[in-house]
Amino acid sequence: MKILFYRYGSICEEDVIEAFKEYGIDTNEILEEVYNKHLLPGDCVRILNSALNKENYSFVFSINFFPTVSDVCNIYHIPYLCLIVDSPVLELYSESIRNSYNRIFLFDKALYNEFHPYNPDCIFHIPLATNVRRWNRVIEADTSDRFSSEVSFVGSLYTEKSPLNLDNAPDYIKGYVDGLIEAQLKIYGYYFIDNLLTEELSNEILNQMPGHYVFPDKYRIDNRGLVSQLYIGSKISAEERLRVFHRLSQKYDVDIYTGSDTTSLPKLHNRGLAKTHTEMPLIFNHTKVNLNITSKPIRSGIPLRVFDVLGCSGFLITNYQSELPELFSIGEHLEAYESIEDLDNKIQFYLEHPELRKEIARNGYEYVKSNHTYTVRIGQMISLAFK
Amino acid sequence: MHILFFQWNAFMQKGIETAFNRLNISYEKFFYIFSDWDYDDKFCKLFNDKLNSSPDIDVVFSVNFSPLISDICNARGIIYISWIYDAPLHIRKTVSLMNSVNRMYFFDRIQAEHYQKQGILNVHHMPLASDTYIFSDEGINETINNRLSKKEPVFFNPTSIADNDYHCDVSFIGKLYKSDYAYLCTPLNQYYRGYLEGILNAQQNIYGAYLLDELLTDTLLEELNSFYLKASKGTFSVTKEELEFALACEITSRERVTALALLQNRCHVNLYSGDKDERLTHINQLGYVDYYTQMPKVFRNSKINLNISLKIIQSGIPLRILDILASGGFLITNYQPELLEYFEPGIDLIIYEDIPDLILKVQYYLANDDERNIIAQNGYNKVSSLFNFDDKVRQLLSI
Repeated sequence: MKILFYRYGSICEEDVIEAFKEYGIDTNEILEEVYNKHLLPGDCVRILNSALNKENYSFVFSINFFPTVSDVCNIYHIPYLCLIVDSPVLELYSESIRNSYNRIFLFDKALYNEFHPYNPDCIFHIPLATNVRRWNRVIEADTSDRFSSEVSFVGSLYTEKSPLNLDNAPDYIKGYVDGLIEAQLKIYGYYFIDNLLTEELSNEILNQMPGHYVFPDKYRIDNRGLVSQLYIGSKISAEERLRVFHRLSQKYDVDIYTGSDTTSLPKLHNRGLAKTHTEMPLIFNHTKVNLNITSKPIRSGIPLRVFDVLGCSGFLITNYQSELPELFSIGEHLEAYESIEDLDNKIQFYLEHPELRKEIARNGYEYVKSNHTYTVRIGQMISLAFK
Repeated sequence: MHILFFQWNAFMQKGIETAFNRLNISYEKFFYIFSDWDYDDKFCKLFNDKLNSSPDIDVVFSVNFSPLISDICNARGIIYISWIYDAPLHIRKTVSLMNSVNRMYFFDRIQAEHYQKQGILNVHHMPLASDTYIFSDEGINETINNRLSKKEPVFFNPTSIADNDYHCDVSFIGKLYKSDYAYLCTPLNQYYRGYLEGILNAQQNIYGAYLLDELLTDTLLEELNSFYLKASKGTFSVTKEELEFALACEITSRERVTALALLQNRCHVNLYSGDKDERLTHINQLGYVDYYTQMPKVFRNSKINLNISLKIIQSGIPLRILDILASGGFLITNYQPELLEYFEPGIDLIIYEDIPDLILKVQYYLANDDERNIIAQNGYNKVSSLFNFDDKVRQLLSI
């Protein structure tokens, strides 16, 4: 059995290929998108055509959704399986999600509830996963303690990813949005911004921002979702991360592995970007308390970082997300916080209780090793896709 | 133990007195309506005279907390037990809360914790109670006869309601809360008007989490007060409590009016309220009802009774909920955390999650008479076994 993998450079592509191999599925890869992020749809069609004409594939696969790939697969009557690992993925607003050869897997239930009605037989909800074996290879090969940390976080501060700009907006709107942001910052497990923006207000906000995202032709226009998730959601994430690291860095030794500018947080140790495959597992493994702060556009689901920290036998404290108790046992596999104050208290507690911390990390590792590997997940995806 | 039971026009006093009698508690009564709960020289004189003339009184008991009684008791070393349904506390002399003779029982757990965290001693949590007999037809007649014998009016209500008028699909008793919110917004600039509207909308959208307390920060209050002080030439500013109360009332008002407005075209709705609202044209607006002689009839003759709590009650079970169930009424209510400690949703009462959910549940239960009756009966049984005055009074008096 052979499949065609349309790659764009996501960190989990290698893991998925490894998992396919375990099921005896060979992979041919298309790599153009990895090196050229502005590949024209016409070029994409041409490349796919030539690949699909050359050989017979059981299905085409990608991480995240590519409308052009979906359209081509629909013409060739080849199933197109894809796993969404980010949010927001604006390509999901494309009309192409209605294609009947799609098998779209969404890791976030809020996303699923939103998009499932547009193609009920072809859109599924499935959590993310981790590659325990890969991490173990890296961890066993490097016994140095160059990545040991009291508290660490691998990820962006979101400050550069937050394109919300209300400089030109009327003061009332600025105030209203700031009020919503403050309120949302206090709540974990329920993202309510979508509910509190009207279509009218969303359009007004967009109109104040020159160069804002515009849905292309043949996309379903959802300016409310766009403003709520892409613009305000990212802004809340930036604000949340600044506040979390401001508070934590006063009190603990906190390392952040990031490309973001951290000059406003002088006590935070910025250790630059971490290499995903070679350094990140060592960081997760050698840190006493790993943090996950889910970005707000992920409204209910569990981000990849959670699976990866546990897969590296790391101890994790994550923000509460509504899908968390469905997938993990809080306090047994990982720990969850519901406010910044709560996070601070829990860090202090677990720094003082190393045995408890290690036991939870051990449980978490054993649990993802048997339930949440790519091998398990790919098997579930294939059986859902072809049932 | 000999108790002086301070009475005013409060709820629950009748039930408490019945329990005192059943439990053979020695007590006498003192009735007074404060002109001002914080300052009332006439009261202080009368109350001191009373205590002077009855030297065997060793406990004073009241519904809600009176700073004046507390101060008098403290000077005399008499224990002062108060059972409080006032949320938030409408007293300004909060220093009296520190008096060591106080034994305060709040019906809302979070409110009790709030005062405990301030280091105030002898603060406890105690749910309210309701007396099923007082609300029964027999109990109503007893109250009416009692009032007739004392030549009091049967209804403390300008218009009596014909028995037929109580019949309806959905009823709601309560204020529509014309809040000070609009008034408080006027002096603000556009940014802060938007900001308050933002947090207000957020709080209204979230059921089961209370954010206002955390969101009204000192910095925000300072900013807002700079506008009020400027507009009033230095004479007006708000406290956090005042602003929080205004916002909570505004949210409650919007929720109540929205719910009633959406229900009015779908079924027959009776509203019993001192407030009128021009948006509720299809609702039967019947004015006040008398607590003892009319309210239980409202509950029993409405297919569905609605409770929409004042937003500031963070966790506790409001008296309205207990009274509806104790009268044998079927209840649909908003979520309050403490409800789940005693009641099973769907078995004893119904909890709605948001307004669309409320509309669906009203429609469902109007169409299912048997289910409704069973649930009302279960709710009644729970209240009579878990929220009766005898048990609560025993706990309040530690007997």
